[in-house]
Amino acid sequence: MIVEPAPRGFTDGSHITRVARAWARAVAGASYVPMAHVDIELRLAGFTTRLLRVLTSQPFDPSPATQIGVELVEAHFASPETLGHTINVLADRLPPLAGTSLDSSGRRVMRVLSALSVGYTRGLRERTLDEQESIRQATVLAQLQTEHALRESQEAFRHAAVHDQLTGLPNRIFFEKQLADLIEAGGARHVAICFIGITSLQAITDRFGHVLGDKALTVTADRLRTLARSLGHPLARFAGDQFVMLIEDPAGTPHLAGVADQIIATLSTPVHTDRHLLPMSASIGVVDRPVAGMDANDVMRAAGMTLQWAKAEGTNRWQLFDQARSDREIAKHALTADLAGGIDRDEFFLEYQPLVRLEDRAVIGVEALVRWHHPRLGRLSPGRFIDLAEESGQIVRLGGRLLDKACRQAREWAKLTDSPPYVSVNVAVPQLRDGAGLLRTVDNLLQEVGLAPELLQLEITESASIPDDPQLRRTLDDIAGLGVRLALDDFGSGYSNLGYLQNLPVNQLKIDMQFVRDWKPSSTKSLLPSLVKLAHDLRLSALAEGVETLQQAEYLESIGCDHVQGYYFGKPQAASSITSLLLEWSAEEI
Amino acid sequence: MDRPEWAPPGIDVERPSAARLYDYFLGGSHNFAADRAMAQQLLATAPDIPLIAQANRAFLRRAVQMLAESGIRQFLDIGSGIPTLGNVHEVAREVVPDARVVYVDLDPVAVAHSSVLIRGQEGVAAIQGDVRKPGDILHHETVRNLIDFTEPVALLVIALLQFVRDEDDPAGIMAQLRGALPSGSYLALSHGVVDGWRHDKEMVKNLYSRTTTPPASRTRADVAPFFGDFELVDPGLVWVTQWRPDQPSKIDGIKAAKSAVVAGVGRKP
Repeated sequence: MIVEPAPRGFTDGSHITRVARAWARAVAGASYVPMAHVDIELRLAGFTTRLLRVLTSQPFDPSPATQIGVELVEAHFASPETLGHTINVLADRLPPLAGTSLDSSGRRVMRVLSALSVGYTRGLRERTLDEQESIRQATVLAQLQTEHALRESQEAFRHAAVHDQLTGLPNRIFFEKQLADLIEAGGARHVAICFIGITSLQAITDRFGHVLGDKALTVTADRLRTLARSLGHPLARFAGDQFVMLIEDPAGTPHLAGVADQIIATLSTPVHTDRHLLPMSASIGVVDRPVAGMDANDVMRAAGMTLQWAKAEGTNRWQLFDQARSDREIAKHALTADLAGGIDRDEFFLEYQPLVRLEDRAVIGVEALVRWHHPRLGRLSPGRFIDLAEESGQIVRLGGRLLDKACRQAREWAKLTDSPPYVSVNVAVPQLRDGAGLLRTVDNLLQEVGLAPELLQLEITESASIPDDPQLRRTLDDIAGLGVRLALDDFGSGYSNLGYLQNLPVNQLKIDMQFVRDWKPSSTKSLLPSLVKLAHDLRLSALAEGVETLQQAEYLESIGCDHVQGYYFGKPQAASSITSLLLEWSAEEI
Repeated sequence: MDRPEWAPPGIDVERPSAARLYDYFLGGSHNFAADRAMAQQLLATAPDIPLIAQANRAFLRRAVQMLAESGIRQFLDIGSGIPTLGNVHEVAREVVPDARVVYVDLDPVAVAHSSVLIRGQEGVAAIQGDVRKPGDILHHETVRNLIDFTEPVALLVIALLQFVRDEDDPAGIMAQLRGALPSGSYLALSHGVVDGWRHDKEMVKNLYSRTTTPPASRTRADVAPFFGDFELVDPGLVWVTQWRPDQPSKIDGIKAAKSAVVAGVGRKP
């Protein structure tokens, strides 16, 4: 801080300093001055010197004091109180500094302080207006920034709500909205959806963990995104390892096939990571539908179903939606859903087909065959529902019911005749797997009904799993241990491992009907004699299924087949018909 | 309707803000009618407030000057308020011309005003931040760009914590902030306290409760722990006017104890 020299001849520096100190003390606390005290005093000393020069100017001109007033404010000596204290101090202290030699100095001081006040108030007003303007501008700016930030955060929030975090792709919510909008707008005539499943992903995650799984998914998403962009089709991550591509107005099936092929080619490229080369594969379900009357939910259901078909075809396959196949599957699902209720309502019943001894044409047994009296579809044969019952697990309950019916019927017949037929009941693999349950059911039933165990036969289908499964083997042994007969059904049609036959506790081989159907009187090649011999070599009786003609029966008799079953000897029929038959025969015997 | 969690703090010029009240008490005009109306009520109860504000502002000037002279080249001023007079970068740069300063305030108007004021000045920035979320401040991109946390930093927490209530865990906040600083860093802190306050405490507290940041009542003894293991430099934690005054002068507008603000500077060992 430079102290200007005092006007020569009037006073010395120490006087100026004293005035400045008094001035500083007077204005202390009246306003905040961002300086140390020593600097404040120096600054005020400078102003004092200049004021003294104005006061003593020749000719007298008070106007420069106006500028000093302005500068006081600029130096932050800025408050109404500061001005008041300043006037008080200077009115007292300036005249002595100027000396008595000046005439009318009191009046001059008044004019100097008046000019100072004008400058000071002008400066204060300017400063206030400037500050008000700056705070106003800051507010406007802050408001803009806040609005901008709010918009950005809203956008980020909205973006996050409809985008997938991992891949950055639109998510299912976004996609479904997009599809709904498209349907509503009605601009496109057709819409196709490629429902893409990354089939290799689960295995990658299982083997290498989620980090690598996510990495593979991210790379896959990037590849798909690039492809989708080049094709100009919207893409979304639907769920987990599923993506969807939306194609407006596809140019026919060949076009869709081209897109699907490209997707498969893109996605079946292995993914390189730091340490691994991950093999990738994908399946695609493609649905192409007219937009008019389209139901978004129905389209996605169809797409999902088609993806399952594609997956069932093998890796890196795509499938086009097929309405007829879909209808069949839907009907199947409906039927599966009806199964449980059907069992509850006792809609299943048995028909019985005679098993005949060739030697004397006697009915030595009957096979119980299930039918479903469906309330809507009418009478259904087992081919329509047994697989569904197995898939849905209902087979165990259904099988138990049928076993119960068959045993009670067998007991009825046992009361009628001295040589009653055994009843042969089909048992499915899931029932066998429920080994202890099946054994208990059979044992309890025999006791409860009072049926001789040899009047019950269980037919098991030749199955690849039986020989390798010790538990199934044990179940069969236990059942045989009860004295119940066992027959191997549809023999020759399956996956026989002949080796296991010698240890299986069965009594009868039921030779599959295809061998009888294929046999002609002129045949030179037939497996029938060998199959019969095989049964006999294993000390089992041989029963041929599907015998429809006398010729067939005579041939079978000629090769030593023990028993037969087929339309020639009797169709599956109601229990009452069998009863009549038995009554007829027992009357004849008498 | 409540503002959603993710919305940035809004601006309500009808609601007084501590930053603008402080500006008013320092003689500034960076304030609105609502601020001035409340300032008048406060002055009617406690006419010393402008003197307290000045004393606190003078402490900031002395502390920054001392820190700059001690070789500190970077300053983080949390709760910087409306830039009025003698801002940190101005004071610091008189000693260290390339001193880097980041101003942090919750009030978007204060931040906008600071941004305009420092426009075009390299090494100085103003960001919006809430001291109650110290992690956000410490990891703010601008802070990370300007402040090198491997070199000593001066952390300025001037007349701020009296607006952080106990339920917001000021001790935990300060521990986190101190923890982020390397050895040789400083904390300059001042805090309004109720000891020595001869005015109507409840009235002042109630009035300030209407601002965006309602105050907490603390005593001198409550303030000391905010320094943690930092070693207080002379003269320790004292009334704000007693912290290295420019000269032992009677010119100060307010007696020490009436200042109702304690202040100190601590150094991280």
